[in-house]
Amino acid sequence: MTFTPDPFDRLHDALVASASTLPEATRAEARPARRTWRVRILGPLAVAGLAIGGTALAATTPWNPQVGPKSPNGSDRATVSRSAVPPEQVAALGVLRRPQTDRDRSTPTEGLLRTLGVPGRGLRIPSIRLLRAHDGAATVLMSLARLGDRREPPVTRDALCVSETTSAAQRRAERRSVPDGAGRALPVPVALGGSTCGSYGDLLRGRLRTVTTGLVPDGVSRVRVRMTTGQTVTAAVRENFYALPIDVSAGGASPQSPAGRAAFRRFRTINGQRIDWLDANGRTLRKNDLARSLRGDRTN
Amino acid sequence: MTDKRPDSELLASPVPDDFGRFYRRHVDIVTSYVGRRSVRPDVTIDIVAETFARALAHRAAYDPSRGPAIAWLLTIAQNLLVDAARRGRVADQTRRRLQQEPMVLDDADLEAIDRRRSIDLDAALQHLPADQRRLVEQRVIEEQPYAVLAATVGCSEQVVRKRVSRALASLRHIVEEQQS
Repeated sequence: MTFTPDPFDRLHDALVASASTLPEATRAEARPARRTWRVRILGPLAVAGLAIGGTALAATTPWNPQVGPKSPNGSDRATVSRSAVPPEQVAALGVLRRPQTDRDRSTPTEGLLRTLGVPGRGLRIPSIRLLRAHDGAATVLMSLARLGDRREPPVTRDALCVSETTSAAQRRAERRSVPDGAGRALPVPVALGGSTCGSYGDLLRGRLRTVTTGLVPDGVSRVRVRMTTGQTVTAAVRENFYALPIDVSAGGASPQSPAGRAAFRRFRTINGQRIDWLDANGRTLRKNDLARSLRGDRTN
Repeated sequence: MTDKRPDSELLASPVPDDFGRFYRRHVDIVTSYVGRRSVRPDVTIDIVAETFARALAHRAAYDPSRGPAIAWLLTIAQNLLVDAARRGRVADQTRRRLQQEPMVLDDADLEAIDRRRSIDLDAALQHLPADQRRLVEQRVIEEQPYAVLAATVGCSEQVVRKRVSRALASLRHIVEEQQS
C-alpha cells in the first residue's frame, strides 16, 4: 500500500524545499512587490504566452459561425478571440489535437452556438469540437479566453467549456403551461441547454463535469461511479468526453408527479458521488499522478 | 517533542526545517480562519499556501514587538481573501517566485482540506478562560494595539504581550486536541 501525503503535508514539504533554496539576501527583501511592476510585466508575458501557443492547433478552413442571437450592429463578433488555444489544453486533450472537421462545424454545432452563444468572452473558433449529437441536441467543447468579469466573478483566464443543448424530444416533453389568475394557459419556458466551464486545473481535478457527463484529460479510458444504492455504473470515454448511462431528467414531468419524484431519486443516487478515472487496463488513475505526467510531458 | 522555541526564532533560523515547524505550529488556525471565510476547499488551500509562502519570503519583515506571529499570518490571509474576492482568483505570485508547483487536488485531498476547515476556532476559543479569550479576540481578530489592550486591562504592555502569547499557545493546544 502506498502512503500519499495529504495536501497540508505536501505544502509543508514545498515550503521546506523553498526555505532551503531561499538565499539569505531574499530574506532581507521584505518589501512586497509593487503592483505597478506586475501590471507592466503582465502585458508582454500574456502576449508571449499566446505567441508560444500559436502553433498548437492545425490551421483549419475559415469558418465564422454566428455566436449568440444576431444583433443588428454585429456586436456578437466581439465574443470571438483570435488567440491560440493554450498549449496545456492542447497537450491534455487529444480531441483538440485532431484537426477540426466538417462534423465539428456542422448544423448541430452552429445551432448550439446560435442558440446558447458562449458562456464567456473570446471564443476560440479553432477549438470548437462536436463531442456528441443526437436528436437535435449537441454537446460541444470550446476554449474561451475569459470566463466571468468584474461584475460576475470569479474570472477564469483560458477556460474550457462543454455546452449542451436539449434534444427535440426533451423540449417537446418539457413543453407545458400553467394557468394564470384568469385561467389562461401560460407557457413555461423550456430549457434550451447549458454549459459547464472551468480552468485547466479544473480539468485535471475532474471538475469539468455535470452529474452524468464530463470532460477528462488524455489517459482516461473509462469512468466509474458508485451510486448511493451500491450499484456501480461505468462509461467509456470518447474524445475526452463521457456520458454515464443514467437519465436524471424528469422529461418535463412535474417534480411532484411519480415520474418527477423517480427522476429526483435517480439524481440523488449519483449527485456528488466520486467519479473514478480508469486507464485502458481498467486500473484506477490518481488525478494527481495524471496531472503530474501531463505537466511533465509539457516540460520535457 | 513539541518545539518550545518562539516563532521569531523559528523564522530567523537558517535551518529550512524550522520554517516547517513554524508552518506546523500555525497551519490549523490559519486553515480554520480561511476556511470559515471561503466556500471552496481548493480556494482555502490556495490561500493557506500563499499565506505561508509570503510569510517565508518576507520572514525578515516579521517584527515580534508588533504582535504574535499568528496575528501576522492571519493579516496576510485576510489580505489575500479580500484580494481574491476582488479579483476573482487567489494570488500566487509568491509561490511562483519560490517556484512552487501549483497544487493539484483530487477528491481525497478535498476531503482532507474540509476536515481541517471544520476545526471550530470559535469552539476552541470558548475553551479558554474568559480573560484570555477576550485578549485573543481583541489582539488577533480586532487587531487592537498592545497599548490599547494594556490600558484596557490596566497593566504594562509587556505583561499583555506575555498574556496574549500564553493564550495563543493554549488555543493552539486546544486546536491540536480537536484535530486528534
